Amino acid sequence: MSPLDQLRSDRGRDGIIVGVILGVAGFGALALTWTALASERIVPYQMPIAVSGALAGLGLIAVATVVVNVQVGRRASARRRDLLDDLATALADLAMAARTEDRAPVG
Amino acid sequence: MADRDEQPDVRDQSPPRPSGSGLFGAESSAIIISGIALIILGFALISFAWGRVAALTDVHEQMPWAIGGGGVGLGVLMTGLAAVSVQARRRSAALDERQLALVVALVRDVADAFLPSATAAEPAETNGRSSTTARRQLRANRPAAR
Repeated sequence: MSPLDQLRSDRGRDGIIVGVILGVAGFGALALTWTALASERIVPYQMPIAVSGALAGLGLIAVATVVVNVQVGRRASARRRDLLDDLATALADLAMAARTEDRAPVG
Repeated sequence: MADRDEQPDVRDQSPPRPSGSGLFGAESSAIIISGIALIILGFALISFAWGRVAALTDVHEQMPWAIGGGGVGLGVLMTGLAAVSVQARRRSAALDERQLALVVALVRDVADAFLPSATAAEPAETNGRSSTTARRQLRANRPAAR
């Protein structure tokens, strides 16, 4: 499975890891913005730092929460599909067993 | 014919454990409590930044606290909300999986009661991925039409 397929898989944890990395990057951007603002004393020069750094940081955190949320949901759905697949197989076994009983009753 | 009385009643067995047990498991409350704690911390950080900004009169000194402190507080708040939301979803999914696994086990128990011998192929593992293989084997074992 290629790395891209692993990332897109609805069973893997790679998507969750990417989300966590994005979240950490978002907090890092906020920390960088804070220190950059503290080192600049002129408000018009502070504004671009504030807008770009803080908004980008918050945006990264928002994207991270959505990515993690979505991937957790996909993993849960995949497990549910596996169980439903098992249920379908078990019901097919049951139907087969019932048909076998009809054709050749035991005893 | 296999002795049906020897086969354990699946209803007496505890259902299979949901995925992920322990502190970070699907049914753990630790993550939800941590999420709530992060939400409270986020509001506390925003309040702290508010206090620091209110104590200053120069805008260039207020900006780091407003943007940095307030932004970090908002980020922590969002992380807490995400943690609570994700863990609530995991808990709900784990309960659903437990119910489904019990239903699968019960249906297999009924199928085994009809056909207790090993004539039918063993059902697929809980993985579910080999169900196609199991169905092919079932068709191969089907008695010939008369």
